[in-house]
Amino acid sequence: MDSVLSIRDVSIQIRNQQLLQNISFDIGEGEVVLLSGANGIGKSSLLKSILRLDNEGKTINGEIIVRGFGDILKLNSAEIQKFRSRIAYVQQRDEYAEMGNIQVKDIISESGQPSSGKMLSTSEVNDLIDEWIPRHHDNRRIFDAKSKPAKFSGGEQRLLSVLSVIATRPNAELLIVDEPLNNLDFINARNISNLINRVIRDNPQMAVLMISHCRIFPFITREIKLTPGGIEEVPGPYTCHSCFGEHDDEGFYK
Amino acid sequence: MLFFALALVFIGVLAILSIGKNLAQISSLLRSDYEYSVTMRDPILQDDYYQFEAGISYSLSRESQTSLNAEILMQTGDSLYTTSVDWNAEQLSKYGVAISDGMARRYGLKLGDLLYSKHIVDGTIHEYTIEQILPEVSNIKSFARNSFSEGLIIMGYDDQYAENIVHTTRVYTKTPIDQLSSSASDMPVNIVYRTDEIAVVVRTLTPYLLAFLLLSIMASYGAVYFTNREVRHNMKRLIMLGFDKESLDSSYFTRIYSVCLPAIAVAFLLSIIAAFISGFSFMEGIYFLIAAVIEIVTVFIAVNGCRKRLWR
Repeated sequence: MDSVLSIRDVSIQIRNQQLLQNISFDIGEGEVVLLSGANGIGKSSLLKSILRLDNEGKTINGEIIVRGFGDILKLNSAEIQKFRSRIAYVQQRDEYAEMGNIQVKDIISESGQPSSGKMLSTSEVNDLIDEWIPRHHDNRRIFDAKSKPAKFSGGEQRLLSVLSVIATRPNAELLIVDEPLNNLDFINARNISNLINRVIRDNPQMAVLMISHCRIFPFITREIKLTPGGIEEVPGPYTCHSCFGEHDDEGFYK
Repeated sequence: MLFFALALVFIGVLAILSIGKNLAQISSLLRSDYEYSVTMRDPILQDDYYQFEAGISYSLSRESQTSLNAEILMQTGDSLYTTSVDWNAEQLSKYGVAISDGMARRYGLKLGDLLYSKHIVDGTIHEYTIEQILPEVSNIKSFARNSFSEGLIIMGYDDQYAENIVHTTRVYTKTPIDQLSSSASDMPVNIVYRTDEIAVVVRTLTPYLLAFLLLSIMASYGAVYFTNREVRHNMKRLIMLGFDKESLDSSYFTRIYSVCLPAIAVAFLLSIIAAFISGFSFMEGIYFLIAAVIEIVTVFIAVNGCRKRLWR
């Protein structure tokens, strides 16, 4: 299987603290990998390192090889921006509350703009929302293009964050998702699972690396666990809990 | 932007209220051309004034028991008053006076208003018409007898005073001191060089000036910091999405500059207007210009520092 992402002997040191040491793993085409591990062990730091984000005080050694880009740690500023524009990354924290009057239209349209080169109109954004997220029972959208995320609940912000990336970059080779279910209620957690499941089914070549403490994703194919001693492959099939209800044969929640 | 502009205007107005008088004194001293002032017995018939030991005083009303706290000089009858002394008065009438600008503003006096003084020779209270308002005058050294003076009053020539009251002459000149000594009937005393007067005013002024400029720097940095805080999360989102970094840099600079630079320009203009209303001096204009330049430099430095942190 052709590797989309290869982590080779990666060590991460944040100031004087050694966070990760000699971590290695690969993710191939079509694999959906859950990265698990205790809080603070360095899962999010590893994901950010793949995108070279939050580098202040951080030392990264080893190789992070992404197909088509080579070693990410050796890319220059322009190359790293091109790389970021080609992969789909959902960050752990949403900071829309700090972004003033920004609208859903801006978030979604700008998410797609670096790769597609075009901005979406208000109606195109609404079409995209309707395409990806089911409406309420009274036919209202959870949010529309003109809504202001600064006023959203934590769950709505999270949903927007995942939607904005997945709906605008469905053809990315690599999807990285950090804690997609933070602050989400039962319905929206299932919506997010369905969103990710759909993009994987639409683009079966996509490699996915995901962090989540909730085990509700039926489409996970493999689990690796970060431990204080390094990284280990979790044996056996991924166990999906049914606390959010039952899913169908294709892994979609109703 | 408005808040930042108002903060800068507030600092500017505060500065003018605190150091405007000193700035005006420096302006006046710089515009003057004499080298030093000196006390002599007799006038030299150019840029000289009588000063009396007797207590001549002026008040705002005929009945007032409180006199104005001012230095008082009298024009000589025959002297020529040139532009060598910036605050020289035109020829005044016997019952006319010229007062310095700070005193006029402090007491709300204008041309044509009256001051009152009990004539030491004839004992009657006379009305004195304000015929001229003079630039602010340094009274730190020239008139060392009263360091708390609020300003200067120049009287027109009064022969009764000149003939009956003991007096000396304060001369403002650039004639070499040895030449002046040889031609005078006594030794000139109490020599004060204009450069020393400027130095004294500058020394008085400097701590306040630095404090106000520091406030301007802090306000400018604050404006950049808070504008940066407004946009930084959005900028981080865009860099994470893979937008071109140079374009983002350009947008970031445009955003910060479009807030800070117009605010500095507006504050500069409002401060100049405020200074004009309260009696503009050349040095006040220089102060505002320096403050604006320092604010702009601070903005440029701060915005680059914040930008570097933004992309880390």
